[in-house]
Amino acid sequence: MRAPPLVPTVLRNLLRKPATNPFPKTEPVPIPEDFRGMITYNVDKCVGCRMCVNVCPAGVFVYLPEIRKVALWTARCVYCGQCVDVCPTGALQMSRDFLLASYDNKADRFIPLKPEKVEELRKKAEEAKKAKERGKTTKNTAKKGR
Amino acid sequence: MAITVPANGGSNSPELERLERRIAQLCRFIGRSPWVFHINSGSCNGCDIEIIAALTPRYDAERFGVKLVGSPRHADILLVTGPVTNQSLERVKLAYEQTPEPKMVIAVGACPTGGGVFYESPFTNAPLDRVIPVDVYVPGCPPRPEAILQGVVLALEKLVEKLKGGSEK
Repeated sequence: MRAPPLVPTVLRNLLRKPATNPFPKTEPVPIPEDFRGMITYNVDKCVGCRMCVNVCPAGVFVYLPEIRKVALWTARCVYCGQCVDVCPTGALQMSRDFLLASYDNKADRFIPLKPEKVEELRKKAEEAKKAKERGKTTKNTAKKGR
Repeated sequence: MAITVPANGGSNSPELERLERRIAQLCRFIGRSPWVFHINSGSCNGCDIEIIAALTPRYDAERFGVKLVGSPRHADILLVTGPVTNQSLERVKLAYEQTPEPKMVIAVGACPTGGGVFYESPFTNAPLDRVIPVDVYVPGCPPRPEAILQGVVLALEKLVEKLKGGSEK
C-alpha cells in the first residue's frame, strides 16, 4: 500500500515557522530594489529651473522666485518619481523610507525646506543683489569720472 | 458620558460600584483590543487593498487584536481612505458621529493627508482634517502595510494615553 501523497507536505508544514513577519519587533518585509520612498531635497544643488513644478501631478512643489528654490510639502506626494527623472542636477532623490505615519501632517519631516532656511537664503540673495548693484554703481561713477 | 442606573438599583451603592468597575474594565479592554471600521470616501481602492493586505497572515494586524468590523457603532478606530468627495462627505461625518468615544481617526494614503492628485478639485474636501479631527496620518500612495500597521500602533498609544488621562480625572 502506497503512502498518501499529501503526507510529506503536511509533515513539512508542521515543522515550518509561521509566515508572519512580527513587524514592530523586527525589520519590515524587505522592499524591492527600485522602491520609491519619501523624496529628499538638496537645497544647495537646486538651480530653480521649475521643471519639478511643471511635472508634479500632486502640486507638492511651490516655486519661490526670490531665492530661486522650491518649497515642498511631501504629505501630498504620490511617489510617481517624475520630479526625480526630470531634475537636471539631481537635487531631488527618492529615498527608501516608507514608515511615515505621524500625528501631524505638517510635521518637520514632510517639509524638507524649513521656513528659517528660506529666510536665511533670502537674506543671502538680497545681500548678493545689493553687492552687485553697488559694484555696478561704482563702475558707472568711475566711467563718468573719466 | 452619563451612565444611567435603573431606578430600583440607584439607591443600591454596591450595584453602582460593580457597574463602574465593569465599565473601567471595559475601557481597559478597549485599550488593548481595538476594533477598526474602514470608511472609503471615494478612494481609488489602492489603499483599501493595502489595508486588506495588512490583515493577511504575512503582516497579520490581528496580532494587536485589531479587527475590521462592519459598523462604526462597534469601532474604536476609523480608517479613512480617499479624498472625501462631496457625495461621501455627509457619510463620513455620520460615521464619525456614530462611533462611540473614545475614538481614533487614521487618515490612510496621500488623499486624506494632503489631497494627493485631487488637491485642486472642487468636488473633493481633502485634506480630511477640514471635515473631522484626525489623530494619525499615514502618507503614501498607497502606503505599505507596515506603514498602516505603524499608524495603528501610534493610534493605540494615543488611545491608551487618552484612556489613562480620562481615568485620572
